[in-house]
Amino acid sequence: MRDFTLGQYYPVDSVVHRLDARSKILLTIAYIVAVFMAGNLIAYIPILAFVLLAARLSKVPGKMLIKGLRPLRILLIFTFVLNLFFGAGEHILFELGPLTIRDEGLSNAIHFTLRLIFLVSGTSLLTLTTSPVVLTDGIEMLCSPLRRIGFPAHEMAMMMTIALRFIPTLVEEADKIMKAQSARGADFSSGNLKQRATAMIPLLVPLFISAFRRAGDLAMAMESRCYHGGEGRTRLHVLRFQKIDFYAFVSVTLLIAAVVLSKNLINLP
Amino acid sequence: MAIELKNVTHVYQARVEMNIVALNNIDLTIEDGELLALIGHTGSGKSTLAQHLNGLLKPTSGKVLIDGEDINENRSKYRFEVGLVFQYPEYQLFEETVKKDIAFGPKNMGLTEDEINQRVKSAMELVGLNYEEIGEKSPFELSGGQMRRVALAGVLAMQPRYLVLDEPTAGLDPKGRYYLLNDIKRLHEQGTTIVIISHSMDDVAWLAERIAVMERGRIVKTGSPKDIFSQYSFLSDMGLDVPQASELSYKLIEKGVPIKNCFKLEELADELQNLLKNGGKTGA
Ligand SMILES: Nc1ncnc2c1ncn2[C@@H]1O[C@H](COP(=O)(O)OP(=O)(O)OP(=O)(O)O)[C@@H](O)[C@H]1O
Ligand SMILES: [Mg+2]
Repeated sequence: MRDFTLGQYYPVDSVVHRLDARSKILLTIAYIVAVFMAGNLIAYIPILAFVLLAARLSKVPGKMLIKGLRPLRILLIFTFVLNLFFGAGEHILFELGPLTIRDEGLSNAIHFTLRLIFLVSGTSLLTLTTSPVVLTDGIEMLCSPLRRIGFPAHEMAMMMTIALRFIPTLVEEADKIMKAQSARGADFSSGNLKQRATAMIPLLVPLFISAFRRAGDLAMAMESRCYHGGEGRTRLHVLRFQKIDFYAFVSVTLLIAAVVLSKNLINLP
Repeated sequence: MAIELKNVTHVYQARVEMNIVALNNIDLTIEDGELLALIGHTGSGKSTLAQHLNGLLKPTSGKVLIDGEDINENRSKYRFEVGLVFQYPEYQLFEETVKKDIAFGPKNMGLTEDEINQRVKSAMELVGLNYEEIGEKSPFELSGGQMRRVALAGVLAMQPRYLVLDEPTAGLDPKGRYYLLNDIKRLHEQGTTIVIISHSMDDVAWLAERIAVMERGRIVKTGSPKDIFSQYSFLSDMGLDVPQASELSYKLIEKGVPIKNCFKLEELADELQNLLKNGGKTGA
């Protein structure tokens, strides 16, 4: 449970940490677009290079990024296996009883799995290198033009920060409740699906109750500090674009170019 | 017949490359039938130690033995031998009724329906909750102090030989605290071995037969309450208080009032009463 790095902040000083939050958000969006555009396996090479470079520059230990993928391993395996055996395609590559692997299925399996891995590791780099407060500021400023058409930019951003802020807290809480129920003999790790689902009740009920209690407390604390939404609020950290932001934009442009080129120039599955 | 910790070290890996040595080479024996208090500054490793006593945490190195057998070799056997009541246990309640919640532990032990009911009833009696009146209520309708007692009953219903309590009186009002301390004392008198973690030196003075002082993952001292509480400067070095009675008697002794050093309020009251009977302020 504690291995969950998505949404955690890793506080060190690095070039990536110093990038403007707005740039980082835009970069991440561009990166996601690039991942989805990747048409063949060659296209993942520049993406991999980009992630590795960003990870290197961010000084976030590689172990930490890999650990962040661990909670997803079941999803990854599912994605891979389902696509592999139930994919369409003209050519049958392999057949064993009811199991068949077709060419399109194989390529989908590889694509979707790689895509998931790259999406998660890229986006967790964003949250690992940007403190939630700054991240929200960035989101809010990027969305603020939309305020004119009635989009609640500030409120959205605030909700997101709070959600991010409480992930580690809830994980810790879940850990504690799990231990306490294990001390009363609860068994979370064996039995069939139904037994396991039932075993979650002693964990989930206290967890929900405490989440609601925390939410109430937080609302009260915010109100007693005169929070009343975004109107007229000034910032503690003012965001400014710098030279490194420019380099970052150049690099992501190169990434997209590389992905597009590999799609058009090389014909591979 | 005892719980023995042998060279127990526990390292938490909070983040990659960030290791916290929460327990550092702990040697401790908890004798059958004793009431041991574990005191120490915040973060000294008390809760971590407590979770080793029933195998919830595994030592990074070293061993935890119960009756000479390694607890981590056969964890399911010892899970119900050592009852662990966590800090703020009322936040683990989840069932629709108090009875059902208390029955959770015994049910997991695989007992019969009759046996479970019997145990729920006697556990509620032990902590002073009325079976008829409160049993069918939702635990969430109760007061904080009552909820805590329900949680305690939930562990007691497993009838553990050893009971480990992590700051059981934290956040209770004086009355709730008083009742809970009495419950603990009564359990101890009925033969349960008890380890209590507390920040309240008054609670410790009132209950404990033996005290272990922890600092930065080590046990730096063990001794009787009389012994420990007379070391005023040692305790304040550890960032700990002394009981109110000790503090008052120190101050009186400093002023030249001829009394003994007491750590229990009753004892100090007797002492002062004697002094007053024998002619009041007799100087030093
Ligand atoms: N799950 C955990 N992951 C990482 N570090 C932890 C974890 N639990 C405790 N620690 C660390 O281990 C050390 C000992 O913690 P522990 O909870 O045992 O202290 P304690 O004596 O019970 O403190 P308190 O009096 O505040 O309850 C602390 O430095 C704490 O930060
Ligand atoms: Mg503790």
